[in-house]
Amino acid sequence: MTLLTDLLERPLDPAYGAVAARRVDAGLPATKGLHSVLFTVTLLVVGLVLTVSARTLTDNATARSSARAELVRQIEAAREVRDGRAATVSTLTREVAARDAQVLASQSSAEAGELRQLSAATGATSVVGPGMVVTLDDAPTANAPGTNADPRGGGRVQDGVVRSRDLQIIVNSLWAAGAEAMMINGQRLTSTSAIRFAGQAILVNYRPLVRPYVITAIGDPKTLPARFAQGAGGTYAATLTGTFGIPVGTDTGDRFVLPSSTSAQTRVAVPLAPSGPATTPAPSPSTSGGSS
Amino acid sequence: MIPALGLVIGIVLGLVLQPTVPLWLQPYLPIAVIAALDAVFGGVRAVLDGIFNDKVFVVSFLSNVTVAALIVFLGDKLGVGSQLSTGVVVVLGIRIFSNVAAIRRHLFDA
Repeated sequence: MTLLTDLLERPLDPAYGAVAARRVDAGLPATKGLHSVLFTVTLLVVGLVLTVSARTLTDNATARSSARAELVRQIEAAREVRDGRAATVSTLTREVAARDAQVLASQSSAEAGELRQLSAATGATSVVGPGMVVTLDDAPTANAPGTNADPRGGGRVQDGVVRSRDLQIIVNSLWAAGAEAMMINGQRLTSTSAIRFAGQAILVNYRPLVRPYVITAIGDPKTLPARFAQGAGGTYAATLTGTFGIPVGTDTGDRFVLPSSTSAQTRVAVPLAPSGPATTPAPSPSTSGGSS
Repeated sequence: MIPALGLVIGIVLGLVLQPTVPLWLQPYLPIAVIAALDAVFGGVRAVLDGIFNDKVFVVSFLSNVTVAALIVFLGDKLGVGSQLSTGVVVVLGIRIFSNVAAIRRHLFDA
């Protein structure tokens, strides 16, 4: 406390008083006035320090914010490019499908039908049909203020939040119940789709989803809802609602349109030539193994 | 009046020349500003008390800046640079406020 008292009650440099007392003792006036070269030069330096600091530090702040704005601009530009390219991809995919159909129609209608069937099954074309919708959303308590103030804090996911595992189980049981095509929030599920967690966002086809999560499945409207409700998915949905308060809604409809997938293509895997042995060859390590 | 002219010339010089401060020196700038302000207000109070001495003013200014810079430098080396900077700012800030209060008493009798 003496330190604080000293600091508050005698903030003036004690040297001033000491020098003044010495001068008075020597018979001189306590102060020799303000006009001295040393003092002027020092004040010049003080002014320089003040201005230079002010300039430098504000420059720093503006440089940081402008770099940030530039980054935001780049992200937005890249996002626009990505959206444009995705639109181009789907246009081109439609064109390819149309050309394929044209070519095949001129050859044999059986092959054209087979292609249409296959591309519908793999997600390469848009499909339409009756089916059901399963809607999941975070529990109302999950995003209440206070419980989720810091979205990155703690690392523990709240109980009432829908997780990727929930969607995986629901989707799997919908496949098991006889669904033929599916999408989540507009993302068509194909044989290469993954539902996974990144941070606290659920990614499907590498696109983050925004809640609520709407799973649309095309399948026989008579059997699909019943088989889903009786299977593992129905039980799981009931558990989600009962234990964690996650609302799960199901609905049926006569006509759902599912978009084609923009990512349904293989780069490394090539189709086995149809002229080879007709039966599916057993995996033989000697030929397929690793002479790579 | 001549010393005040020096201060004005310093400010104008800084504005006109626009010198660039090397990056390693930049963390010390805020501390230098606070130390300079402390010396200036101390000097003004000494003038009003009638005990001003130019040598004391210069020495207090230089020692303030040096010690403050040394503390920040040490803090940076020890990994507590921001905390020690805060400490310097608090101590010098208290002194500045007390000096300003004394100056106010002198000028306005309040």
